[in-house]
Amino acid sequence: MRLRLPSAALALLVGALTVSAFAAAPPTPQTPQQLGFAGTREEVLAKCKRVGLIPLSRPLVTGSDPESSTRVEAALRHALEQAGFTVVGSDAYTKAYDRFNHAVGGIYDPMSGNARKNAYQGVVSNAVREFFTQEQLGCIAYVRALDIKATTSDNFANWDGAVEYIDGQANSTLMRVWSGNTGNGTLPALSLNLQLLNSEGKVIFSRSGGVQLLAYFDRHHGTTGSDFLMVPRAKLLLDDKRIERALTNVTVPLRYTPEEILAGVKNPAINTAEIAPRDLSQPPAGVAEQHDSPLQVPRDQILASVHRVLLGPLTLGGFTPPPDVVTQMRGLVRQRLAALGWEVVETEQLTTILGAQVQQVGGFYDPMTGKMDPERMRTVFRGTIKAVGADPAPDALMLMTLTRTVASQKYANAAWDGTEQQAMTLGPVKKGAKLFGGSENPTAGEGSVAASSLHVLLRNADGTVLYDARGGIELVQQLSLGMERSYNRIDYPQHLTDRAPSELFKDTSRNSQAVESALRELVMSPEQIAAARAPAQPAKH
Amino acid sequence: MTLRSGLRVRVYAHARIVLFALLCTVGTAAAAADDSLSDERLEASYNTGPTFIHYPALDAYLAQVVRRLQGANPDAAALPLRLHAIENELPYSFVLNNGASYVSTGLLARLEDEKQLAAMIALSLAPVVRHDAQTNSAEGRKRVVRSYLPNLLIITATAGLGAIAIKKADDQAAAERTARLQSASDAVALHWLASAGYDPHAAPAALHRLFETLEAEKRFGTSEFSDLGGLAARADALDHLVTEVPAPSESAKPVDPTGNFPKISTYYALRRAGADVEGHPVSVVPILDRIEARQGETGPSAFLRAELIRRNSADQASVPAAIQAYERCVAHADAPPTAFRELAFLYRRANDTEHARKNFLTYLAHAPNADDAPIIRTYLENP
Repeated sequence: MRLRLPSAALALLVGALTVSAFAAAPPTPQTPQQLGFAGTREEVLAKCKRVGLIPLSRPLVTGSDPESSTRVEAALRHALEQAGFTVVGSDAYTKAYDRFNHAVGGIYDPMSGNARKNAYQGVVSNAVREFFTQEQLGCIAYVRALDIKATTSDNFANWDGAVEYIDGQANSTLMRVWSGNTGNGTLPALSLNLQLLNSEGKVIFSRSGGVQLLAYFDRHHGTTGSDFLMVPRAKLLLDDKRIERALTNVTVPLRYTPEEILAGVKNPAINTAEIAPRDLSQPPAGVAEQHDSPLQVPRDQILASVHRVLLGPLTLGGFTPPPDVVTQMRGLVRQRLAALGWEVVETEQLTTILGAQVQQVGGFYDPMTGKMDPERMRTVFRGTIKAVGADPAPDALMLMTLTRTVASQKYANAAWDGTEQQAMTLGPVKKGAKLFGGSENPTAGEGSVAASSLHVLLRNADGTVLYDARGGIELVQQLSLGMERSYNRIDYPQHLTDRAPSELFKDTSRNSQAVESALRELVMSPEQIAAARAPAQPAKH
Repeated sequence: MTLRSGLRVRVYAHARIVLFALLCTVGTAAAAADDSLSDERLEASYNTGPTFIHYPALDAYLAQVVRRLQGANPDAAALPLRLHAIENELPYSFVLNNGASYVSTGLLARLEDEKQLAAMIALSLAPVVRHDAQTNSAEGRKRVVRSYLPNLLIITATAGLGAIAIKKADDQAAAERTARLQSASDAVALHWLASAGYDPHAAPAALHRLFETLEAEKRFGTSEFSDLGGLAARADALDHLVTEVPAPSESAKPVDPTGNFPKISTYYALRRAGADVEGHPVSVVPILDRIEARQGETGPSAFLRAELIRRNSADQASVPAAIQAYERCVAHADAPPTAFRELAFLYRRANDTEHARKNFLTYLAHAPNADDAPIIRTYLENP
């Protein structure tokens, strides 16, 4: 017994030493770089006492409410002032920007409507320089909205200091257990990114804060095609609490030292990931992806006004289909349009003539604003129809382009623009599990694959779009699945491989199917389309 | 265990081996077809990708080096090589089984001369011509088949614990196999270089140079020619191998008599340094030092040094140093016009209106049609 006591003590000592050796090291404060500083925090704070705001884009996100920019700007101003900065409004910048934009004759290319890179950079960098000089700034603050891939784990999405439910619902715990969302993945999400730049354009601080998810994964409200629901763009950036959460996360390193941030890891005012989604208002409801009608004006109106149409060449859009495929597609389009009783006037020179007309009027777009000028558009299309010289003059023209697009896939069955293809085998799609002769592979989950489509655009003699549609041709990528084993789970990451040009456009039935899909709503009445989609009735005896 | 059950185990084990061998045979044929499609896809994606360099003169130059290498070595000519450059900051040189091959601008920017370029091509080509990857897989499969029964016995006898040791031994055997094949292929590459009139010492010299330049630029990768550990080990191995290769009786002149390689290398090195001024400033000075050691200070190299100083001159106190750097740059006849513009802005910051005006005017004289020329004119009107 006397011998056993020291042994027990020794064992305890060894045990204690082992535990202390394997115990987790105490957490250390984040480095300035991890917090978003390019140099040290002290340097940035010393430099940036007076911050100039660069005006935010209106809208900040395409399709969102332009007023949301005002809302974000006000919240940003508040957050920066709380961090001890003197915030200067953007009036001087805007004035200088307008002056320089005028000096260069507008930053937009009148041909494409896109900003001319060098002109844009010249205008912005000089406006910023003037802003610094006039307002005696230490730095400028530039905020933009970023599309982020939020990582998801089971029911939650985490990104840039934000935590949200992946289905966007305020479900009970029981419902969540029921919904069975397990596994890892990503969801598109929206973040606000703040950059502080010095007078030489160097980014001295950059950090993002998550606002809201751009899509949800919801098995209860999804469709057979997809369990992903999109958040309508008009519903983005309307929640002040979520904007505040994002900008708090962005400015926390400017307000608090790394040690204070470490100490406040459980404090939602410092660590915004501690703000539970149930403590926020419910995010906007998601909607299944909806396809707009290709008919830009009622079909009856098109049929009543168009009798003679100019058909241009097939623009290849970077693809290299064999010449016989081009001939086949163009022939099929001609055939389908002729079936409407239209007279089809083919001209190989249509795009060349159109380009020359655009050059002649100096482009469609206003170089100062980048907006389209309808009068110039009318002049170009009328001039084009006249230049073709067909008599009588056609009422409309049709342009055809091969285009690269994105197909969504569920269980490896991809569907886009009226067509389907199995993304792993590249064979046909058969509904149902493999065991029952189907082509579904649940391991593939959901995702997107690059695909090709035929894009057709019918415009009248004034250039107004009458019909705008796409017909899917085939996948231009092939999906394969890897396997990652980690503790307690196996994940199957998706790999996409670009198919070689020599593999494409080989299936003539797919090419003709693309023409059918692209022209369906123009050449068929709604009743004919409904009849074609209805299941075949058994024959009566 | 009864005799019957023991027999059943053996029969089962034999059946699995036969099945495995069958699967290997079928699998090899299927894999060959897959590899060919995969190479075709890879080539297409590289050739149409955003990093592909569309520069016919460079392609023609690379083709000349390949021609010399393959012309002197019929076995090297077994593969119809199509060599192109792709944009990448790290050094790469690789050959696909279908003959498509690529060197990166990061490689061209770091090599010293054409001999080193030829060496890098030869080192990438030899393992493909000798089918090292296929030999490696085949030997690996043979090892699996050969050791299947003994391994099964070990795993059974140790209740699965032996699997760890088996895995370790397999990994070691695979590493040894790879090293042996690489060494044999490297020896072949060195002989090819000598036959083509290139000094085989260029091969280890190229790898040493890649190591030194990457280390100086603080830029590392994990691929064959950007992983520092791998580069050092292979360079040392080549140092040893090269002693066994006779030097060419007469060293060949570069394929391009105008000696274009240094120009190409400098061009891509300057481009890299220009991009790094913003993205990876720590590499700028080592790259410029390397360029200037080759050709002395030029307008473009002095401009990048000045840009680096300006980027760090946000406070008023550092303006004179930035002005001095740009003044040094504009003294060169080949100084880029932008140097005059930046100098003008610096003088403006220093409230020296006269010098600011003079340099704005020089900028406009050199670049009257620049996109920002109308803006600069407004500074002249309202200084």
